[in-house]
Amino acid sequence: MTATATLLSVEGVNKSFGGARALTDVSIQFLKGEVHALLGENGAGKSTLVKIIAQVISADSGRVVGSKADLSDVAMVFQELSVIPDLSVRENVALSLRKARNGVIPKKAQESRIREALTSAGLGGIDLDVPVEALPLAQRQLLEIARGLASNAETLILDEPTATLSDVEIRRVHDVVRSLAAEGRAIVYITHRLAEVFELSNRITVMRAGKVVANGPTSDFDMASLVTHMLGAEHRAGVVEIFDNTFDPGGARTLRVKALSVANKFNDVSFEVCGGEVTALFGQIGSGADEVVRAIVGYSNLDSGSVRLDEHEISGLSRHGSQKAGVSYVSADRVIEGVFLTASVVRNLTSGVLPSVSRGGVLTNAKEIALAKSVASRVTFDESRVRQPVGSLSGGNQQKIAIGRALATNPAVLVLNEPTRGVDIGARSGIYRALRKLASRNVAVVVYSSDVVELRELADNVITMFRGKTVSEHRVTSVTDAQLVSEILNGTA
Amino acid sequence: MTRTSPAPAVLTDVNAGATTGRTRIRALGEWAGDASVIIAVTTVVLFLIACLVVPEFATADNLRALLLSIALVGIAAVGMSVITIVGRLFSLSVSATVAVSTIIFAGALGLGPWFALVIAVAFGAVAGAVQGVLAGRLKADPIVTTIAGAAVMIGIAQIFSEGRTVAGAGDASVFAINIAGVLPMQVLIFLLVTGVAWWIHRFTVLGRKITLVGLNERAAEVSGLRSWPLVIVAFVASGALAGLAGALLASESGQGNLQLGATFGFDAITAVVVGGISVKGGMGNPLNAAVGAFLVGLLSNALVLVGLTYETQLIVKGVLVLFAIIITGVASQAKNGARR
Repeated sequence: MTATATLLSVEGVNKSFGGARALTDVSIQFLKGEVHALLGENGAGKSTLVKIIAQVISADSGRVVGSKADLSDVAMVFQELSVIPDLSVRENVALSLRKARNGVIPKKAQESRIREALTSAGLGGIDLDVPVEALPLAQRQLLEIARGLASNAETLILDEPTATLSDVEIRRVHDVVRSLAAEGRAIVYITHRLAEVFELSNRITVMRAGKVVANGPTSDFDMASLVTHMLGAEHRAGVVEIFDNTFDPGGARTLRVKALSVANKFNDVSFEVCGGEVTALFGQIGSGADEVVRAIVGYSNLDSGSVRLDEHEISGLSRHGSQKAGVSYVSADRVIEGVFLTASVVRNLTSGVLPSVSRGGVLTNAKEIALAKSVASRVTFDESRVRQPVGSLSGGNQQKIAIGRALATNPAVLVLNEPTRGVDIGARSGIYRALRKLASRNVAVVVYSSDVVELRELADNVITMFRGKTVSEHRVTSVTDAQLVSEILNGTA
Repeated sequence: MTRTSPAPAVLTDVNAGATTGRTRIRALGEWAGDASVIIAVTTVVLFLIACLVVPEFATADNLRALLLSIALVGIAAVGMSVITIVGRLFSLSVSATVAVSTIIFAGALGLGPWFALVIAVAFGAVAGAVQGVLAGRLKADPIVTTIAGAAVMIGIAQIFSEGRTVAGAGDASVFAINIAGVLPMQVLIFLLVTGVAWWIHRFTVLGRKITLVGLNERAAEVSGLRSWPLVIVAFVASGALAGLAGALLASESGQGNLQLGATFGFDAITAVVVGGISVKGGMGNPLNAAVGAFLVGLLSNALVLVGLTYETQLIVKGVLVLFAIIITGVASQAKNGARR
């Protein structure tokens, strides 16, 4: 790699959300002709940084300098596929040309630009008129890249382009990425797969807790040093706080998941969770682990297998049915599923237990308030704020309410999907404490997490998942972070 | 954000842009609580202005006429509001239900006015239940479902009535009396219906469930609530109250005719929207719909007394609806916008 020009430079960027610092003095240079891997755990600040570069949000201070003043040569390929399945390949690429003069693109020029972009993205021979839904996943991902290229991008930001792909497909994407860099572009490559970093990148930046903690040519790193940089030395020590788990096993019930399968999501998943224990399913996005927790609470059509509470099968598994059986759920998506934003804290907390705060179908205000206050104290939420609308609370407090909503139902099993996603550190510890306490009251807790730090704080047992299958099960006290991370990244113990 | 896009706009000397404009709108929304407060205040102010400015407005006869003119539409609007609150927009079969109910009432009047009333209400409830099952259990689009429902109802009624007016073989004057010589029976029924609907919405488990499903159906599902039974309840309520409005409408002349009540559906939607009930669901209550009906009636009444032409009245009504939608939109934005 010859010494080359900087195509994109991030200089001293800071960003806070409310009181929480998301980025602290971040400076990174992205060079022409290089694949630059951007690594970090969930919450390390990668996506915040990327959003600032893409000008989706603005930084508090610092600047982003590109080779063009308006950064129009920077294109972003987001993690979730945004191609439109019903439209043809041609139409999908044309969508990103929309900003052409007067909104009208001369047909000839359009055709050749679309072809050019597709060829660069490794889709040279593709039929322009085939609908995108007919393409395999990897080609859709390449099409996504082609859309970025169609706007003549010099710098291309790829956010986990291989998260949902198989090995063969990944290789194809890698080839394209390499050739794009060789043509003189700067590639920012965000990934959780450490193996591909060494295969693909020229340079690595590791972020942790909003700061750049390591930066250098790929040859300066090895797998162990990357994991250390990502997780931080303090977390290698292991369990931060061990709770007293002395409980009376008398009232505890056991959740038994037997040979559960949902086509294209996960296959033959079995495990048991005893009351009083927290079991975490640990896997990357796309590993199927999050789909397993959604299936347990009744959101999926099972292809086979069963979910039992003790020996009783929860039949005709639906959200309503599983709730009635005593299985409560806390969604990963706070705004869409977690809370009623415009309703008060009280109304949120009582929403699952209306019969118990009413008499003869008529709500009893005093009972509602009393229940809300007692639940609020269990999730360490300020009791005096129970009349406020949930929408006026911070993300962390909203999540406490979402969890409180589930706690209020006195579940036998509590299932949580990424319980601290987007929640600041202070609120996190409150949430962990509430969940540990709940487990000590004989509730069986199942949590999906993609955050190894969270497992240490929260779980007794960890089940690792890779591409729809369980890899193995561990007591959290007798396994290293490196082992867990390796299992979810490579599928081997 | 799930787009592939070139990064737009300027070299970023990225100091956070001021968001004072949005904050100000939010503050306004919080002050008002919700749109219905603004509407209610507007109604009272307009009423007082009309009393002072419009000659002949503040007479007992005119006020009674005003209330009579809105009672039946108000009943239909209160029913419609339940559908809106549960998050299923509107029923477009209200006019048809009212029209068919006039025929059923007239046809059954020989068996006694109260019995005929119950039959008409029961018909409306059943018609609503069928549409509710389609829109709730089978997740059909409520607008399309109710358009189809209206067509079927009118078609069947046309066959039986052969398009003719059905004269009632009985005396329906019990619904035309003035209670204590002052309060018309229709107005009393309207007030009762509004009060009961408000109470159910505000104080019962059923009302709370309907609100929660309207606010956020997926969050309600996470809590284990099922939406479809509540959607059916909403359509039954709307149908039954449209049936009630139809029966009372027929009682005025003792006759039923499919041409009767043609404007009820649109007027009820107007009342719901003007009353400040959010079409996104969950926000607002049946009382707002009654206030909306009153506001529209008040305006028409005053404009007639002032001597404005029909065309001008239409324009004023249209502007009023737009005003209500803007207020409702700003208020709900202010509420939702907080900490997304």
